[in-house]
Amino acid sequence: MTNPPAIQALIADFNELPIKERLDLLLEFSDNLPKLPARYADHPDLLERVEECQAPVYLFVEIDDAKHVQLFFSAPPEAPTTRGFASVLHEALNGLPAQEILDVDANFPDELGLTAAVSPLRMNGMRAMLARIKRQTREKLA
Amino acid sequence: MSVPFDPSESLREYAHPEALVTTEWLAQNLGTKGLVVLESDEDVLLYQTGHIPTAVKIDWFTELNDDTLRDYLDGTDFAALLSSKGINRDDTVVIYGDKSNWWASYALWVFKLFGHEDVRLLNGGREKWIAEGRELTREIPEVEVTNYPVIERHDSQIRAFRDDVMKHFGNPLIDVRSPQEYTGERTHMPDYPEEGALRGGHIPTAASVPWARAANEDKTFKSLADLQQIYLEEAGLKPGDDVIAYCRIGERSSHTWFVLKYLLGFYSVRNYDGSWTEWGSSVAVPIVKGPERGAVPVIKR
Amino acid sequence: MKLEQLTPIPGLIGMDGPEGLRDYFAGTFWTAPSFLLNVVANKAGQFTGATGSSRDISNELDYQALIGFRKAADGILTTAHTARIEQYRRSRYAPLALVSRSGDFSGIPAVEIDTAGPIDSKVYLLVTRGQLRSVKARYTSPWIQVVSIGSGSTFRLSFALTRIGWRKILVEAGPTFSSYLISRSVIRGIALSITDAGESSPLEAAAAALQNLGVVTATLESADRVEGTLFTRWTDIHPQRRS
Repeated sequence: MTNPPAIQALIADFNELPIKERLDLLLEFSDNLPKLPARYADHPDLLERVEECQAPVYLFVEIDDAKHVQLFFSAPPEAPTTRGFASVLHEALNGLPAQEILDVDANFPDELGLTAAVSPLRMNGMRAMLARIKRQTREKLA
Repeated sequence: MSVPFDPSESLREYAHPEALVTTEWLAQNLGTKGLVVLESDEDVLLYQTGHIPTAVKIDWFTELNDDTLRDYLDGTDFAALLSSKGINRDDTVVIYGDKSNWWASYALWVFKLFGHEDVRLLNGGREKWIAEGRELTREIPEVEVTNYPVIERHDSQIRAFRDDVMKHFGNPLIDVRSPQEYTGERTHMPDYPEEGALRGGHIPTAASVPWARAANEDKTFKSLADLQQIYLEEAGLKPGDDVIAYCRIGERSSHTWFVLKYLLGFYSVRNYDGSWTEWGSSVAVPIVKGPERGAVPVIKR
Repeated sequence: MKLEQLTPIPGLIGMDGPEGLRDYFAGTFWTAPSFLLNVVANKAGQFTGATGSSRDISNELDYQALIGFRKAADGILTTAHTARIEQYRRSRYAPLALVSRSGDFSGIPAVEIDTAGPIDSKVYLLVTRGQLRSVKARYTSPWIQVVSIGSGSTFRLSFALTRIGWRKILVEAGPTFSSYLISRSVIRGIALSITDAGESSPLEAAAAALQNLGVVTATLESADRVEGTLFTRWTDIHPQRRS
């Protein structure tokens, strides 16, 4: 199954840059992680903690009437790599139909060409976030 | 040419006050000829979000390890690396980083493998600098490439290998991991993904002293009295002991190695950097599970 | 869709005529790096008039404010489309970056005419990777630099501008591109001038324009009234949900 266009664009955008610059692009994502809307900012207990990540990261999945997924993330500024991952996942997945989220290749983070710059250990965090997004999506569809 | 030591009162009590600098001292000495400031973080992007003016980034993963071997750089590569950072052999290098200088200590330990004489930690690291509202910049400094000499690495003084540990029994071992890793409940750090050794537990006779106990809330090192309480009273170390510290891959134990050697003044302290990842997945080495230290094992040769 | 929330800050600052206004707006506005959208509209929420240009809506005061923002910016971002309609020349205050998906930069004085503004004021042409080669071959004037924005995503776009060295980016685009950037949460602040505000409150004057830009909630940071033109500044921009 081919990746959705947003993911294809991400893979192309990261890979065409030299390795050092991929980190800079990740920083761009990190700086621009969308802020939580008030209803989550005021109620952090609604968000799910992603245990596997190297920093406190929280996420929440909403499914609207058209069965499209909205993603919400919270990650602190002292953890820019984790924020970057969350932001990339937001770009990749936000607004997609729920079924497409379930079908997304669980290993697509490895295709971004970030592993060399960031370390396989750190990339686990991104895979863990993706796995939780899929799980929450599956649970909310049922 | 190196820079004078930080004469601050707060550092005087330690065995080697010259191995630390305060944020105040660094702020005053930034830009001094002969001083190079390095940032060494766990988070690979942190430096880019803002760093101490003039600081150069050094990344443990991409720069301090050899690509093919699971080993550190050799003399030639280290010389090339330090030359690219603008460092001379007789420069004062101040290293700081996130997480209480956890990775900064690791970088310092590697510098010491190559015998760089004047390398110091910024007490409190990145977090203290920021907490004090001091200046950060995103500007990447211009580096003047230098000609750092090729030095042969001498591991034996400060680095222990698995066989050294096997011969070490009867002498103190410090396990700096979390309590759950020590007892074997867990084989990876809390909050960190499984990197996996085969078995859980600790090296027999090792005392459990999680590394972060050596740091205060503000990420500075604890006072000498507090450190003595932890390492001498509780863990049972005695002056003159020959100590080996370990963790998972030797990153957290560098922090403890620094404390034991430079703050408490132990002469013989080595970092077993193969650590639990190697020990726990080795065949025919003894391990202990649970909270007790365990007895000196009988090694069949 | 209704504008849900405004947080008015009391107090209107009086200005000493157009000169004072320009200098006021030339003061630092941003915490870098960020995108500030400068837009002019009327109370009905229209951004252009009969000729299809913002000049139909704008006035001398608004123009002075624009100059002030340009002086404070590291660069001006707009689309080839807007640059063509508004007949953009190169600015002496800041370099220009033009985005085009089609790679068509024809009919733009800043691009084509060497006397259309200072020769040392750079013009960056931002194109997707598919267009890169052909646009580079076609536009070779010394003041032009062609830059890839890869897939054309807003992240890749802002990355390209960061690489050029821009931190304070002034967006002067039409409502279509502006709404797009707002919907993608790129815009940190909006400087909105309402030229026929009269005595209306900031909320009354700005509501229609903000709505048409797809802004659902925003915080009013300041409002200045000068001879019937209301200059408002908004932060904390939240767009409608992405679908």
